[in-house]
Amino acid sequence: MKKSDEKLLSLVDALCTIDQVKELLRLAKERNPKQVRITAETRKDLIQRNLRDALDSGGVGPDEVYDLIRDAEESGNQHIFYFRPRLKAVRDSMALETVGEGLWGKGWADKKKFPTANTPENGYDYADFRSPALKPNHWILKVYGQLMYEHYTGKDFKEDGMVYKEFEPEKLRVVLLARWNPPDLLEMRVQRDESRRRISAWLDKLWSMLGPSIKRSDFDPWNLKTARKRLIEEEDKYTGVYSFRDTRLLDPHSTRASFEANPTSGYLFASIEAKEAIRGLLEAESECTHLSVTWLPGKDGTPSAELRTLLGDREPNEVVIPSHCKSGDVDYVTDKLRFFNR
Amino acid sequence: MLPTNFDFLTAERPDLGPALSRLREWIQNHKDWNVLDPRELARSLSDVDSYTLASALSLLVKSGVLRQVYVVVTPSGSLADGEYDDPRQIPERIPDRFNHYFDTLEAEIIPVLRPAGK
Repeated sequence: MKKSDEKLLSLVDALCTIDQVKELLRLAKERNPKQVRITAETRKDLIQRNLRDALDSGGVGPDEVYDLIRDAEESGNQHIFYFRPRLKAVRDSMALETVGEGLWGKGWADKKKFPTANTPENGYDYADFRSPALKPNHWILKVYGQLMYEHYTGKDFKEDGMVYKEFEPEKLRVVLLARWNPPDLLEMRVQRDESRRRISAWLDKLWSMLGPSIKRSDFDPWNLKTARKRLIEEEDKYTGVYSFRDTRLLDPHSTRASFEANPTSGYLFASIEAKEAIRGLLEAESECTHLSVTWLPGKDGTPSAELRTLLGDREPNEVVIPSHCKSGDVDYVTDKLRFFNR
Repeated sequence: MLPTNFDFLTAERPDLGPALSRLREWIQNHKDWNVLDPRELARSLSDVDSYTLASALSLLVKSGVLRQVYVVVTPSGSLADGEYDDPRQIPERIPDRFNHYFDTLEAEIIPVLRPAGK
């Protein structure tokens, strides 16, 4: 196996769900029944044996695996920050051609060879700029980056009577994404990380990379507080669409209330007492600052599976999608937020 | 819903029959629960001797009805997302229900039971 294919497999392992890999293998098996095996006992077997064998035998092409990785790294396991243009003139200047020209000058499409799979050794670089399939007025700008940081190995050593912790350098691959979702939403997607400082720095980095074409000062954060409130208030009307698990509220006197659903059932309104308390707080002009919503699978296949989201986190325009999902699933959530935030 | 089809075990272990019957009843009354937390069960089924309850749960695991996994208790007392077959697989830091990361070395780790095969 080629070194580049090894890299592909490790990216698949880091980014893709079992279902995504199985779907790729299933499609390949229809074309090459003898070269592709799907059934596997474990995730490791599925990727390191089945997918590896399929790549080696040519049953699956490297391009197909690239596409799989692209889908996986662009949707889910992210913080999404929503922004809206302040002026119509800004909204009107968000066409792919105009933004591309602002970033790289005239004839950018010939000069820039997108997409690229190369991650810079250190720092950040543009990796892709395109309209997603069947959505000519949308665009996606993708940035790859790589950070080096010191990772504690868990080992200590003694020297001159002192105990030292052993650290080793580790690379962190970074994927940042800006998505224009017409007519009026700019999504800034930053990969999930335990460091809030890194998330803020990545958001700043994404704005600065858009800077030659799009100014941050031309946009306002899209506060989702109305959506959070309506999702709670109208839950009875949409029982097959979503359910929620945990929430935090802030009353007019800045008193905070936190509700976490019974750990083993996962449905907050299973408790009538909690439901009444939350609705009472909302009626008393409290604001819902955090809401953990699970979007239920739709009859038309979107979302494709239960999709958990946290509306709120640290910023009012922020949504956290903790797991990987399909790109259509994120669009579904954005559409629902548009509906409920009115 | 959690499985309740374990009548066959009563024939195998008649001494655990009453405990299994109470467990079945409890599960039927908590249809929205997707995992069993033995701590919660012990509180709810206080009429069942704790040793007998533990034996019944152990039998359900051994017979393949339920599977034991480990979860981490968050600083606020909820269960964090993520289940682990082995406590050693638990990362050093994980997010709580509101996406705030905490140190799992200091956290309580508990076994819970979920339907086998899920």
